[in-house]
This record gives sequence, C-alpha cells and structure tokens, in this order.
Amino acid sequence: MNAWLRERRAILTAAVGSRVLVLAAAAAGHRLHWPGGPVPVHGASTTHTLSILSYWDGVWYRTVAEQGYLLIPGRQSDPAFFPLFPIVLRALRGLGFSFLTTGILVANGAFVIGILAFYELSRRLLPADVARASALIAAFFPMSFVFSMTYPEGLVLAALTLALVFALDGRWTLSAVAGAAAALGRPEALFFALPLAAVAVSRSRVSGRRANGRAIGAAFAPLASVAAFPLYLGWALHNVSAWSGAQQAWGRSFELGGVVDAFHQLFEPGQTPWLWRDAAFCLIYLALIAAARRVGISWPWLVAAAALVLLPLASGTFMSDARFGVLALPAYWGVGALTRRRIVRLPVLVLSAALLVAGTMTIPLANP
Amino acid sequence: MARSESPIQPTGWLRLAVASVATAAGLAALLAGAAFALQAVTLPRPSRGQLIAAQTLRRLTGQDAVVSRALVRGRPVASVCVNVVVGPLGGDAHHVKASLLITGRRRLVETRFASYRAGSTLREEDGPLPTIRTALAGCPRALERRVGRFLDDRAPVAVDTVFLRGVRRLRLSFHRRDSGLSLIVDPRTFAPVAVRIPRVRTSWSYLAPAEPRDLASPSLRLPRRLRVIVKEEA
Repeated sequence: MNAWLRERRAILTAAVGSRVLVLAAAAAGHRLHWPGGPVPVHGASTTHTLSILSYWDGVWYRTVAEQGYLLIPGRQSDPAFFPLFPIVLRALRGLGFSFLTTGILVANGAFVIGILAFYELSRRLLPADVARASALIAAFFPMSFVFSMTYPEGLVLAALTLALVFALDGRWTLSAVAGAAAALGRPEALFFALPLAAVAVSRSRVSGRRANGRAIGAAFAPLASVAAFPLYLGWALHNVSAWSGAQQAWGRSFELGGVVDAFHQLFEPGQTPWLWRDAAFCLIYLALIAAARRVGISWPWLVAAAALVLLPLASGTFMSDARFGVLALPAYWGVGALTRRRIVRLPVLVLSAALLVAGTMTIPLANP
Repeated sequence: MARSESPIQPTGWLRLAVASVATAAGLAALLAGAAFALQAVTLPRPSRGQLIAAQTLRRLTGQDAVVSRALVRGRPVASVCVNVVVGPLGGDAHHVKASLLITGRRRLVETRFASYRAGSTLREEDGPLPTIRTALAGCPRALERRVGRFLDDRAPVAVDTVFLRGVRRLRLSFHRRDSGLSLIVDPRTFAPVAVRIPRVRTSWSYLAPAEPRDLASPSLRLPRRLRVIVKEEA
C-alpha cells in the first residue's frame, strides 16, 4: 500500500493541492467581496465562506436534494438536472452538515479519487510519462474549478474513470456499476459507452462466455441508467418527458441548425462576453482531442470526447461548453502528449493554476 | 488441402450468443432497476396539489385569451384579457410579453416588469393593484406567473373537491408567508374556472375561454398610436 501511494504521491499532491487552491480562491473572493454585484441565482447562500461554489446550478441540485423534482411548465425547473448528486447529498444528510458543506466535501473528495483513477486509466493506455503529465494537468486544468462546485462533475469523473479502469482490467460487473453511476450523474457519460464497447469487443477473444455477456452489459450500463431517469420522472411526476420539457425551458432543445445558431449567438448584440470563453474552450478541447491521436488513443475514445464537446452546440449555444468538456478525458491525454517535457509542462502548469484561480474567483460573474 | 475448423459448432455459437445477450440484457435491466429504485427511495415526490398546479400551469401556457365575470361592490363586472406583445417602450428596443386587460372602457397593459394604463398612450401605474386586477381577471400570463412563483418556492398546495353549479371541480389553495391564491379548476382539463386572492378579500372571479365574439369587441380596438407598441399575439 505504501509503495502504491509513494508511486502516486505527486498525482495525489496535485489533486489535493489544486483543490486547496480553488477553495482558497473562493474564500478570498468571499472575504474581499470581489467581484461584487448581486447574487446570480435566487436562493443561493451568501453567508458561507465558500458560498460561490454553490452558485448557479448548485442551487438547483440543492432544491432537488431538499424537495425532489417538480416540472413547472413554461419556467426553468429542476428535472433538467440528473439525480446522482442530489441523491448523495440527501443520503449524507445524517452527517449533520448543511447541503452546501456536504456538496463541497463530496465534490472535492470525488475529484481527488477521480484524478487518481484517471491516472490509473492513463497508465493502462499511455506511456508512463504521458500518463503522469495528463493527470497533473487535469488536476490544475483552468475549468477544473467546476469539480469543486456543488455540481455532479466530480462524482461523474470518479465514476466514469473507475468504470473505464475496471473495463480495461476485465472486471465487467464493477465497470457496469460505475458506468451506471456516472450516467446517473450526467448524461454525457453515455458517450463513453462507445470506448467501453470497444474495450469489450477487443477483450472478447480472451474473455470467457459469461464475461463476454457482462462486457456487453457494461457497455450498455450507462444507457440503462440514463433510461431510468425519465422512467422515474414518469412515476414521480406522471410525465416521462419531463426531462426534455425542462431542457427546453433552459434553452437546450436540440436542432439540426443549432450549431450555426451557436455561432450567430456569439455575435448577437447584448450577449454576455463570457460566451467567448466557452467557444475558446470548445476549440481548445477539440485541438487537444486531436493531439491525443498522436499518442495512439483509438477512435472510439476520440469520437466519444468530440461528441461530448460538440453535441451541446446543437442546442444553439456555446453556453457551458467549457464545463461540459471537462469530462472529455482524451483532451487531457492530448495536453499530456504536448507537455511530456518538463520544460514545457512547468509553464503550462503555472498558467493553468493561475487561470484556475481566476476562473474560481469569477464564478459569480458567469455561469460556468 | 486441410482446412482449419472452429472447435465450436454452429449450435454452440448460437448458444453462446444467446447466453451473452441474455447476460448483457439482464445486467443492464438490473442496473436500470437499481437506478430507478435508488431515486424512488431517496428523493421526495411532489404533493398531489403541486402536480395538479403544474398541470394547470401547462394549461395556462397554452391559453391566449380569457373572459371573466366577478361581483365588484355588488355589481357584476365583465373583463376580457388577451396575450399581447409590447414594445419598444421608452429607451428599450426589446419586445416583452404582456397581458391586455379590458374592463368596460378601461384598458390595462401588464408586463413582468411594469403595468400601464392604456389611453391614447401608455402611462405607467404604480402599486400592486394592477397586478392583482390582472390575476383576478384570469389573465393567463398573470396567473401563470403567480402560480409559477408558488411552485418555484414549493409552497404547499391544498386540494379539495368542490361543486360549482352542480359540477365537480378541484379547489387549489396556495399559501406562502405573505400571500395566497385560490383557484378552482376543471379536474379533466385543469383549466382554471374561478380565481380568488384571499388576502385581498375579493369575491371569486369566474373564468371562461374567450369566444371569437369576445375578441371582436370594439373595446379591443386600440388607438392607432398604441397599435404600434401593443400587438395582439397570433
């Protein structure tokens, strides 16, 4: 165990250190009252030192944890948010912490596990130096502050990377459970059914008969889990399409011409300039996913990651694409491939850390 | 020439494929069931009242015009309310959704942000009264906002059965710290048929969908200057 930990000490230090940086930046923002202005979402806490980490969608996840789902026609409502994170918050109520504190503990704890699991995943697919660089940069990635917010991304990162590690190790039942958990946190996890299926196919020759069936089952597990959500809404709200109804109210209805609309929206007068951050990160993710090909990452992984970044644009906006992309794992392998050399990696890490702090402190200004 | 043969016979392959698909389907179904059960066991469900209120809201979002009848100081008063779009207003070039309420000769335009008395021009009206008037007149948008706010706050909604002119209806009573609303709705369509604001101590207003003849009323014809900024929705 000690040897295992020693080997991963740098990764663990980066994961914990980056979270300390994010929490310190959030606390500094609160203490310095910078940036000022009104609370961006009605009902968000402002008294907690780490309040800003619970802004925006965090308020909605707390509402689901406290009161469950309710579709409110014609208005933005909570069935747009997947249930894993509120379920965990509710389950940990007994600890005696507020939903905000519990949410921050869960999100950050899961992120640390997620980065360690991501390193394990990278080691199974890439040379050791690229795996190490990828995990280090993933920990300090500029948008990774969302993993510290009361959002499900931290949990999904942990579940998704564990599902993929288990699949590569041929532990299909565990992979299926972790994949199902990831998809219950964010629907984007569904895209990784593709690499899971690819792993299942490539291992089918060495697996036994029962393992073969379980491998296919593991690939379908995220789909089964995602399907359980509308079924639950159908039972609880008497409306199987409550999720898509709520998505429409949030401006997330998918259309063929959506991508063109997304570009038009960038130039519309009166639009928030923060949309450009999302558009820039969209390009960065795509470039990094392409760079991952250089280290031999296979097509199913690249297609899954590209779909994760590009599909949201079909809803007619770049809004939040910078956040959606944090789960595009091959993008970190791309940056790992580009920063194998220490002389390149160090400045990139410093720049990432600086942008991470800036991103954290500006949470009140822009919906990530 | 010798040919290499698979050690597994065709029937063996079929059995293997069936077993694999059955295992995969079983595992996926088990996980879907577990995911469903996890949500059902841990997350609270909305009350029956909240679900009926949400259905009423859905109904209101599809309604364009309504007529209402109420007793005001012992005299029957009829109103027509239609959905309109207002703008540009002042320095703001945007168009906003609004309600146009016509009671006798009085015309009131209400948006989310402000209320206006419509004469030959629009004059802003202060205070809560215009908002109360539009809600009591059953203006779909005004009621939608009011009911939506109660549901946003997850205010408790009491439901009981009442008989209105011998017909079975549902009465929804919304309560929040400083406000309340009572709605009587049709249990089949969830269309509101009567509304009352308990704290204002008004009588019930009885609502019905507007007929074409209500919308052909001369009082709905706005002066030309106003027609530029207040447009009836198609």
